[in-house]
Amino acid sequence: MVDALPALRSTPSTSNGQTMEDEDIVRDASGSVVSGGAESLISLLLPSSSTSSSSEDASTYAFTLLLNIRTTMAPIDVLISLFHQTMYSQNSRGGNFCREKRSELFHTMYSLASMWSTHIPHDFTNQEMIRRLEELLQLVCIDEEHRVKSNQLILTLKSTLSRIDRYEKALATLVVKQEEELASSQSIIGLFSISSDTSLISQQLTHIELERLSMMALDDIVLAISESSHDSLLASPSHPSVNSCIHWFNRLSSLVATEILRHSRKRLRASIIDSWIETAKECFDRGNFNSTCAIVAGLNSTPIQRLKRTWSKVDRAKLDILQHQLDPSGNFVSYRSTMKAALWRAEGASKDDEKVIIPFFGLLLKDLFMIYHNNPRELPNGHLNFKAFSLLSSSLYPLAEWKRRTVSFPRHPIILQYLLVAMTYEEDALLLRSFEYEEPDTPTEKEMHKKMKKAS
Amino acid sequence: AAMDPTGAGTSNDEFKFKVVLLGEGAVGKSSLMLRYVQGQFNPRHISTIQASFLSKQLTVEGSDIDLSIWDTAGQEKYHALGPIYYRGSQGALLVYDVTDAKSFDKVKMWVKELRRALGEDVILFIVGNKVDLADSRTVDGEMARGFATEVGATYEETSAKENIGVENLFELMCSAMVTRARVGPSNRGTTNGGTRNGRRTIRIVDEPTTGRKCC
Repeated sequence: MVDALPALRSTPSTSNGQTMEDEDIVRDASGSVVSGGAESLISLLLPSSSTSSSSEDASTYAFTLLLNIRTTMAPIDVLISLFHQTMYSQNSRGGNFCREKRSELFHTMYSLASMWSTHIPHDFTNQEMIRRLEELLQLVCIDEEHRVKSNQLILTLKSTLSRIDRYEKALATLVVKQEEELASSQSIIGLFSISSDTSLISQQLTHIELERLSMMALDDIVLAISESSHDSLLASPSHPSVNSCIHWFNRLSSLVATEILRHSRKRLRASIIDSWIETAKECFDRGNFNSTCAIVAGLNSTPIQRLKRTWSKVDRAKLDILQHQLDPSGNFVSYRSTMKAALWRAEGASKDDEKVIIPFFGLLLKDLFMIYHNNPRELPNGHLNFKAFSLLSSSLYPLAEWKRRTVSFPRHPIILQYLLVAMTYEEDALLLRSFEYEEPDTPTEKEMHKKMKKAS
Repeated sequence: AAMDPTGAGTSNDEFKFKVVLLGEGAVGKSSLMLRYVQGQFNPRHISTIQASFLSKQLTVEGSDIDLSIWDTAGQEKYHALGPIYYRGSQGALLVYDVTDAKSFDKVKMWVKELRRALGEDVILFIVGNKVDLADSRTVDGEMARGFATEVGATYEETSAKENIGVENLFELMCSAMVTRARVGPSNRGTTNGGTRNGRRTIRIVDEPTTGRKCC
């Protein structure tokens, strides 16, 4: 089996150069690529005489390679190499001049360009990349129909890019409203005074999550996990889509605590906690696990956790269920099985709203980080470890799908605005307020409170 | 390890401990864990994703210990996630890179946060990793040790790469947790006491117990 496949692939096995790919590629018993040199791996993006690979396989292969190879080779160099190899292949064999072969070449390159520009569009924010892609498509066009399709692809790509640009600019203009000091009110203020409808609020949270998810750049994720060995806790500007997702999570969590501590009366604080728990549950039921987790994290923050008298007025049963879902025990075993069930449910769903999956992005990032750093990317013989590439991309592939899901429920601009820009406070300010509402009751807390009062 | 129901055995204390690894990105949290894993287990039995969570049975000072270690690598920027990980922990390894002063500042932040959230009951270890890179060291070991003493933490240095001090680190942590658990939870902390489950065994439970808000 192992020997049979390369033989099948290398039709003109006698000619020089043509079989380079076969010598420099290692496959497993089922014919899947295990490892190879960079140029050889790129050459596999070209049509082959192999009949075994379906177009779906080809697309998975291309996705995996393009997403991963960037950690060793810049996208522009991949495109240049692809261009050269395509030109070479056109001219290397007489047989490749026939219409059928040239048409096959066009369709292969077109599918590749389409996959690339759909799933990894950020690569083309560089003008040179667009120019090179156009060049490649021109090279393989053989008739007017091809040219029309190619032009259409480039136009779609450009509109995607301008959408990304607009989104990034919009994110940058989101300025959080500044207040002098955390207000302390005797009546309901803040988010739940706009609406006490937790279902409506969970819908708006889902809108925010889906928007961030849809703009998530997969290439950003790969670079973010590969570089995390160099960057600090400070946001690194090179992966804006990843950072905006992390920033949002931290913000939501802090908003949860802030909203609770805006209220000086115990009964109201308990009622806000109830509303957050209800909101988290609604998010959970919608498949919005990221918001659920952020809310639960906020409810677990020290300034909120310590409010024992407030918590005594809260029905904890619902929170306990959510806590259990997000318990890190057994490497988040509960969450992972819930996720499986949610995927299963989404698959069978008929309405768009029921197909939504917004994963707990922090855990996804951690899993990807582990896959990336615990598998060698390069092997001692200089080959790129394609098995490791596949492992990583198979964890990213579902995300590429979830990014494209949409919901039908309406946007509520006032709530959205509040969620995105309302003031949140640092933990110190929140803790100080928490001590004001409920006195420190352990020696540690008393000492802490003394220190904080001195400092402020 | 089986519990001795009669309590007739000589050393049948049984503990369940949870230790969380915290620190800035790139300080080597995962490497420490992997090094410990490789020293202790056959790594073939551990899939990559499982490697971020380790559960192990061991015996320290005659006590059977069920130890879970939670790694937070890759999630350093998720500061809101901290409580989800550390609540209910008996021990925390706060790791910094001896060649990176900024990573030591992060350790100071963690000390503050953990003392606030868990009080004095959590055993803190401050770990200076990458001591193999002596030439580019920027954080003075004595200064770090001094800081640790000041905040009631234990100071250790390791090199996950050269396998220096790694096993010792986890053993010291376990024995410190055993000592603490035998004395019983102090009444100073805000959370995190163990529960005694009758007989002669003491069991530290890391599942949320009723009435306590931990995850």
